[in-house]
Amino acid sequence: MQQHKLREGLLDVTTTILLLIAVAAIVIPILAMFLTSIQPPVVARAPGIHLAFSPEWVNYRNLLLDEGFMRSLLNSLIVATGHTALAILVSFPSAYALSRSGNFRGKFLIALWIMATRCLPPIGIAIPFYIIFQQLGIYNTHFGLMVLYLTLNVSFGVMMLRSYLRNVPIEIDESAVIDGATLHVILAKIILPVIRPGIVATGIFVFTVSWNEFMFAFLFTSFRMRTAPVEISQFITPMGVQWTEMSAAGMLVIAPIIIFAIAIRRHFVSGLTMGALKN
Amino acid sequence: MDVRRTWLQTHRLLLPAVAILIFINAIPILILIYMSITDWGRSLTLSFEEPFVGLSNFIYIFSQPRFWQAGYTTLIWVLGSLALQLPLGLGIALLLARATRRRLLVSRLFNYVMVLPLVVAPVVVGVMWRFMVFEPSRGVLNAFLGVLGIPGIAWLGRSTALFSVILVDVWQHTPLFVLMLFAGLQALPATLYDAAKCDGATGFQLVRHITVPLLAPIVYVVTVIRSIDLLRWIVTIFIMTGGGPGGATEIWNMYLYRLTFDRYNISRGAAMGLFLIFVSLLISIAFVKLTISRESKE
Repeated sequence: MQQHKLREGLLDVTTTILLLIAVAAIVIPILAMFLTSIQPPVVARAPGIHLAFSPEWVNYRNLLLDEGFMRSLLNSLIVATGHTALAILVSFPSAYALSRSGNFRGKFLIALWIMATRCLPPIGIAIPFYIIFQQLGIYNTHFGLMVLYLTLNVSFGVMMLRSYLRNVPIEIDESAVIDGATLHVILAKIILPVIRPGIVATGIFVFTVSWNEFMFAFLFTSFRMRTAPVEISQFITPMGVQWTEMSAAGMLVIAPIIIFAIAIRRHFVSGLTMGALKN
Repeated sequence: MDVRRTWLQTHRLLLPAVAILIFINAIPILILIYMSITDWGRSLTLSFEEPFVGLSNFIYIFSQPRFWQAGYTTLIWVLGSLALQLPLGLGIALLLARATRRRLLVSRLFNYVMVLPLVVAPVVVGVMWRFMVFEPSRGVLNAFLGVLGIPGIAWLGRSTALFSVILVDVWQHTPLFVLMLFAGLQALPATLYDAAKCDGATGFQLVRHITVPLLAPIVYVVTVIRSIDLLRWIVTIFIMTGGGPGGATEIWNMYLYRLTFDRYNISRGAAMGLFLIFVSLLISIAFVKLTISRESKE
């Protein structure tokens, strides 16, 4: 019995150490960027790693004063929020219809659709969209990006919302109809509160994808319309890189998402796993 | 019941939304097809006067050595990433399962940290790794090697660039494998293990004959999804190497970018884009066929 306990204890220690190594591997790159962001530029320019320096917030201050960067953050916020609203608005009715339909057909359709949209490389479909957007006059606009991102998020949104909706028993719909709610608007006011957590979870996931998105934004925005990820790539110039400010910018861009990830972890995880399992 | 009949009718009201969305995905492809069989020269506006050139754009691409080189790079990229992520993900999932079962504190910590690589913006990941980790004189990796007395490596140099880029993808997406496999492990029925233990199975045998076969479906799904995502991946490579020193990290998707934007040849870009879509669809269909045939055997 003693030997068994010893063996278990040893395995526990090994497991803990190995997982801690994994944690370190995940955290170290992010930590390195954070440390660089609070270094005074003079320190960062010198070669080698400096761990003993007095932290300064000068980089962040410079960023906040940088009109271009602050505007890009605002652009990201506008696009991400607007797109999330749009995506949910578009996904919800379809998700509802598919959740109430015959069991097999809905699932099969969605799986097929998701698979198809997954196969499209962003650069591939960017050019056709460029042409369409130019004709419509929405190239290089917030709205244009919001619509463009629908290609990324709607199939996912429909899938996620549908799975939440399938957990709402059809009896609720039926009793509402019996009570005289013929308009689906009214029905939406009954079902909507019930799946509000589902909508929030989907919304957060869609927001994150939109906030982080780079390629479409890079190709479809310029100058005043740039989003934050694109602005970060502009820090890399042929003349050299402003390390410290770029690190600070990077931290600012990932900070809100990290806060989401810690505070609302379960929503993220369900979104990520649903992206793969329901296939 | 009457109610259900009304439902079916009103569904047709809601499904047009679905139809519109399918349209958003279909129109670009139609335009791509049109672009690929005509010659657009350098124009970027649709005028319907573009000369029809049949399959010559496709033939051009297939005759480029650069296309085949990129294909080879893509193959290593996909296989290499998967070959590293899958075992690593499985191993960590097993560790996590044990830590959770034994209520070790590290499991809670890991659960929170695990999601980070998946939700950090890919641009920032690229920037982070290029300048903070891989940087020869200031990066974390070379500093670490320095401590061990090993001379620094030029991680984004020609000979190691592809490996480094794969490493970043492993960092980013192993947690996805961990999440999936861990969920799968939690769903495994304990009774199977108990019965096997009664029959005298060792730990190793348990893993080999129970865990692995039961996790296989999940492994298939995640592998296919990752393969398709790897084919259309570009951001980190774009930021870190832009196709790599001398094309060392130029995967097909990157070649697509260069083809379209370096020389502004829309037609050839469209052909390449369609080719990539075709390959992805092939993989998806192969997977679906495999799943169906496996399920019919059961």
